[in-house]
Amino acid sequence: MTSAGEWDDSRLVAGLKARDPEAVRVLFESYASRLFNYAYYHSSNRSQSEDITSETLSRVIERISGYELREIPFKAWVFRIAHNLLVDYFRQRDKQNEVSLDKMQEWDGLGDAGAADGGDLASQIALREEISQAVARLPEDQRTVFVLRFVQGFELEQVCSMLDKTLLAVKSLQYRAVQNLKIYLSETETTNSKKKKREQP
Amino acid sequence: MSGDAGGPSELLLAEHFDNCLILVRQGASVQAALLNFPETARTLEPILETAQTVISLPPYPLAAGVSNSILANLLAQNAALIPPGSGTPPQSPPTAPPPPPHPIPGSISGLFFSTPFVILGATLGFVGLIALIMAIIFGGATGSSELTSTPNPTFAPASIIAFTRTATATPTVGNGPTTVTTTTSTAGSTPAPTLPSIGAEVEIEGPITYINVINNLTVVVVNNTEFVLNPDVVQAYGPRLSIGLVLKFKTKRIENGQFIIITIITINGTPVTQPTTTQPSLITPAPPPKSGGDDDEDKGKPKKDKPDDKENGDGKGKKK
Repeated sequence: MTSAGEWDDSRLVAGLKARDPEAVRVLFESYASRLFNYAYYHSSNRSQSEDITSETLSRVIERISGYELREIPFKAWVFRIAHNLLVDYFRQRDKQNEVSLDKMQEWDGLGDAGAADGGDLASQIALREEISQAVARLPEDQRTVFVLRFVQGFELEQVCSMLDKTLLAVKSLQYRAVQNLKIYLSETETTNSKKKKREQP
Repeated sequence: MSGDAGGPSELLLAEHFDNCLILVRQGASVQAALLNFPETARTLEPILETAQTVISLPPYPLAAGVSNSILANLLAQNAALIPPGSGTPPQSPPTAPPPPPHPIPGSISGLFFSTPFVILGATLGFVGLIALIMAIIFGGATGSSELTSTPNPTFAPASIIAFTRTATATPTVGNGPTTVTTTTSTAGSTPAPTLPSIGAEVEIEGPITYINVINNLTVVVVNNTEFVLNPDVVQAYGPRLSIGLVLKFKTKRIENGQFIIITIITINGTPVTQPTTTQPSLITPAPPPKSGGDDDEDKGKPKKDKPDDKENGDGKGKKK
C-alpha cells in the first residue's frame, strides 16, 4: 500500500508527469476525500460532488504536463480546478433552476434514519446535513473561506495565497461566515421545532 | 456585522475569533480559549461554539463503490496517456495488494456483481478486479480464461471491465437523478457489474486492514472497502476488533452510499454469540439504486459531459 505521507508535492508532481501509477494512487488518497467534502459543502449534492471529485482528479492527470510547481502550489492548483468546476455547476444549476431530486431522496433517507433511532450516527449525519445546508446559504466568498478553513483544515496563510487575499480579509470573512452560519442554524432549529409542533396531534 | 453598537469592532472580533479558534483546534474548551479575551468573550462564545461543532464533525465519506471506481478510472486514464512506445512507466507497474490469507467466499466483490458474476466475484474479489484491470492495461494479460485471486491473474483480454461514472450535461427538473453510476465492459457479451442495491444485505469476509474511531463512528476497512459499524455492533464487539483479525459479517448499503456492518458472524473463524439487539436501526428500506441512465462505453477515461470546459488547469488558472 502506498503511503501518501512519504510523497511531497514535488515528488507527486514528478510522478504524475511521468505517468507513474503509484503517484496516481497517492493523488487519489491525498485529495479524493478532501475534494469531495469541498464540493459537497458547496453544492449540497452528493452525486454532483462525486462527479466534481472525479472530474477534478481526471483533469489533474490530463493537464499535469502543463503544470509548473513554481507558479502555484500544487494543492492550490488542484482546488482551483475544483472551484472552477463548481462555478460551472452553479452557473448551470442557476440556468436550469434545478430542483435536486437526488437531494430530496437523500433527505428522505436521512429522515427515516433519524426517525428510526436517535443514535449518534443518525444525529451526526443529520447535524452535518444541517450545517451543510447552512453553509450553502453563505455568500460565496464566506463559503469558500469557511470550507477551506473548517472543512479542509487549511492554514490561514494557505487560504490567503489560494484566494489572493490579505490575512485580515480572510480573518474577517472567516468570522462573518461562522457568525452567519450560527444565525442560519438557529433559523433551521426554529423551523424544525415549529414543524414538529405542527405534526404532533 | 460588528456586534452590539459601541461594542468591539469587527476587525477585533475577527482577530480574537481566529486566536480562539487556534486554541480550540488544539483541544481547548471554548470557555478556556475565551479567557484571554474578556472584552469580546460574550460576543464570541456562541460563534466559537458553532465553530467547535463544525470542527468536531467527521468528514463526509466518499462511498466505497464510487471511490473504487474513481481510482480505477484514474489509473486507466493515466495508463492511456503513456505515449506509445515509451515502454512501462518509470516505476514498476502497479501491483495488487497481497491476496487474503484464506479463500474469500462471498467476498466484497459479491457486492458489485450481478448473478452471472457471483462465481467470478467469489473467487477473484474486488482487489483482484482492480489487478485485472491493471494487468490488462499493462500487458499482463496472457489470453488464458482461468480466473484466480493471485496478484497477477491471467485473463482473456475480452474480459476487461471498467467502472465508469457518467453525468448528464444538463439536468432538468423531473428527469430523475442527474448523475448515474454505470458499469461498462469492453466485451459486449460481458455482464456489467453493478453496485449492490441500497438496503440489500450481503455477507463479507476478510481481514481488517484499518480501523479508526472518529466522533463515535467506528470505521473498519475490509477488502479495500470502508464499513461503518452499527452502534450495537460496536457495543458488543468494539473492544475485540483490531487490525489483522479476519471478520465475517453481514452488511448493508444505506442511502448515503456507506456500508453499515449490522452483524458480525465470525471473528478469526470463530462464531460469535449474537448480542440481543434490535434490527439495525440505521438501515432504511431499500429504494431502487440511483442508476440506469447512460450506458456509454467510455472505458478509457472518466470524462463526462460537463456543461462546459473552461478551466484549463494549466497552472495559471486561465481559461481556455
